[in-house]
Amino acid sequence: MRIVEILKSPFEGVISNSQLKMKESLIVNLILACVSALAVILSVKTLVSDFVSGIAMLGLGSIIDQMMLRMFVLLVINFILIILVFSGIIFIISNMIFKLKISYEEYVSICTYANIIPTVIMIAGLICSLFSVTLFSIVVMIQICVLIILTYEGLSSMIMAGKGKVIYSIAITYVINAILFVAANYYIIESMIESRFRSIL
Amino acid sequence: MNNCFYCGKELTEEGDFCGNCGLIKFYDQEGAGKRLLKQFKYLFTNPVAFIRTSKLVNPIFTGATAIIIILIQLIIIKGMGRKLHLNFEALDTILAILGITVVEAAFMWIIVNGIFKKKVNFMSFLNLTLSIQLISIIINIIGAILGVAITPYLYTIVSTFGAIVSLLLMYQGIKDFVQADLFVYLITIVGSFSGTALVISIVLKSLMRNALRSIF
Repeated sequence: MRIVEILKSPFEGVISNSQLKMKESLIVNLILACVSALAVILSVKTLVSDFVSGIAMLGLGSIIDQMMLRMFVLLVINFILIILVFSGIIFIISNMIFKLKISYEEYVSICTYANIIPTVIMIAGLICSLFSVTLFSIVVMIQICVLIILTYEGLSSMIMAGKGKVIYSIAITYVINAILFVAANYYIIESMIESRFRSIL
Repeated sequence: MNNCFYCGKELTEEGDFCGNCGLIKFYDQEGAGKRLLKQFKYLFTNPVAFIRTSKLVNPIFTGATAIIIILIQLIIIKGMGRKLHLNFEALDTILAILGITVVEAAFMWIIVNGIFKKKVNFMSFLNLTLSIQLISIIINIIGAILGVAITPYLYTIVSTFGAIVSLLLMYQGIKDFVQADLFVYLITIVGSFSGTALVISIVLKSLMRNALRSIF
């Protein structure tokens, strides 16, 4: 029951919440990650099938179909780990640089809570992907902007330092996070595709 | 005793700068150049305060910021563009940056004044977007120097960092200018971004159509 209340409360005007328990935030994370992974996979499928229909004889569509389940698992693990790693980095920064004593649990709860509205925007993006690619990319851009702003709003209420420092540390954290995840996913996907081609040849 | 004549709060930070509304107290004997220097001093010491000072309507500041942006962009494109694999013409890039700035400021002004009925001058939004571009382009030139010295990937990484910083600074600036609730800020930022993206895509499409027509 409490999970439903947590999922509803951002739409009732509560901007940030640092009171979630670790278990609750993990469950909320799992729900959000499943929803957004489904949205990503469905929209990619419609976009790619539009794009590829001209060169369907290559059999790319069937390869995508076969890799669907693996991509789903990979995306869910990604979306959960992104939030955990992000809050870990910001935890380290705030403890080392700002000398604040705030527990890891609160950061995870803030980052999880800030992720609820962007996930809803992502579902809207899924609907937009049926119409046009331009609209879809604009919605994805809006989602990222809203995610960054909500995270900033939540963290700046907790980290008591100059606003400029908070802005710089959030930006550095996002960049480090992006580099880590792009590198990891690149190696995983490349090894997946390589093994598939080896079985074909 | 030393109060800001604009919002009435007590002046902080060396007695010349109001931390609440971002007003700088200029003295009558100071010329235009000295006022500019006073305003640009906050760019390095406190970027959020610098964003706040851009609420002042000051055409000299607008012109000076635009000229500095153009010069730094020219240095990046002409001096280091080949090593960073940037295939842009300098004139196109400068026109694009200035056009994006003006369109974004116009969208923000329309949304804030038309929909939410707050009285904020158009020039202050123009100054806001220009000063944010200035900060992000200073971060960019640091990234370009690193990219030439070490590897071009560093330029991409540092410019991503600059983009996130400029997004957060824009949020903070709108928060200071408009003073409403979170919904208003989000709608303003999202509306101006998506409006700008739509305008750019329409312009690009018409340009591409002309280019295709000239090819065939």
